[in-house]
Amino acid sequence: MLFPHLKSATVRITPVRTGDGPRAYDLLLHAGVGAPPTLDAFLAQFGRGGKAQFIAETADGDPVAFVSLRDRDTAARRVHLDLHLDVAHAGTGAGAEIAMLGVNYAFAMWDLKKVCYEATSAEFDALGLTGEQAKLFCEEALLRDHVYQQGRFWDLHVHSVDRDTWERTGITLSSFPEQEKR
Amino acid sequence: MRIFPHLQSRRIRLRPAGARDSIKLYELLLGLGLNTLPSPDDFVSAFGRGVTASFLVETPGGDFLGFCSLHGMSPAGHHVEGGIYMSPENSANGVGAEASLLMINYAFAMWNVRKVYFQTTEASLSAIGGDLKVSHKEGILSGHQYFSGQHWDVHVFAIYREEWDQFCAHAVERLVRDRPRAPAARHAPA
Repeated sequence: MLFPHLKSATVRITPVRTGDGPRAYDLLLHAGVGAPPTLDAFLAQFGRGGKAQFIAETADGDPVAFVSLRDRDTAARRVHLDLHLDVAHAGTGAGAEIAMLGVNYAFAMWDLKKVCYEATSAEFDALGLTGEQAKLFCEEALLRDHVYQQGRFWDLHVHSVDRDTWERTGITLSSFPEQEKR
Repeated sequence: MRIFPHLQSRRIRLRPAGARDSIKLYELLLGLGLNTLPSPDDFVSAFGRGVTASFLVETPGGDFLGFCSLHGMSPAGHHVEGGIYMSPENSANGVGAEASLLMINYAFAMWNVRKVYFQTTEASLSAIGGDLKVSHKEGILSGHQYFSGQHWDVHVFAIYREEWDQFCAHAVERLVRDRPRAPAARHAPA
């Protein structure tokens, strides 16, 4: 059984409401990746399109990341995880906990086969996943020079976490509350 | 290198497709069984979203053969994705590959893109023509699509401008050299 955890050892994720749009946009800007739309265009779409979106915060309430589970395909049984991490928290391990919460939430909520996660090497490294956690993210494709950000082109790594791997080893590598892991 | 956005070859022409053509695409996809489709009304209302260019693929005489589109344009990443939708019988004998060549040529001619992506599953992998063998397979997305009662791997290919210039541009010029002298296809009257 998978429980849809909303908190780990040091972070919690909270589903967004309409009024959270400006905070989410601020996190997009602080992630420093891609080219965000204008604020008005972002707010017009915020919370729409059947996405599950969260703001991740520390226990003190400091915003850490904006997280989306988007493009859920019920036939192919997959979803895409977007994780925009404030660069101030890069490499601290907070990103890893948020990624684990996001993947777990997806598998707990929906009958999915895999969760896809696309990132440059810099974004992936910024999560601060441990070696064993990183192995959960299987690289399926490498799109050469796919994204332009921070003044240069970057390869885009397309990863996926499959349900069997998650249920077998992912959950034990997480820092969710012990009493709820069972 | 100068690349002209050709819309017609000896065997086919590309005619700009509009919203009124969307139901024809829906019926084509339904018949091919290669996609999970929404209701026709939802499909029609979403038609054109995220699409940079879409064309009907026709014979020079105007008989319908299929569709192709360029979508997912990234102005920052300088890439776009192409898609071609034709039945096996209509794409046989290299006709599908010919349409693909014109579509990719159009992308490199029209926009400052560095690469053009296209995705396919095993179900239609064999339809890729010899002229597109310069493409690079950049990944296989495991079990990424579901149709016809099973999961299918999605193969992601990319064609780079440098290689297009070097190996494919001449193939397009060869294709269009012997085209009929009829006027180029234009938007059909409303």
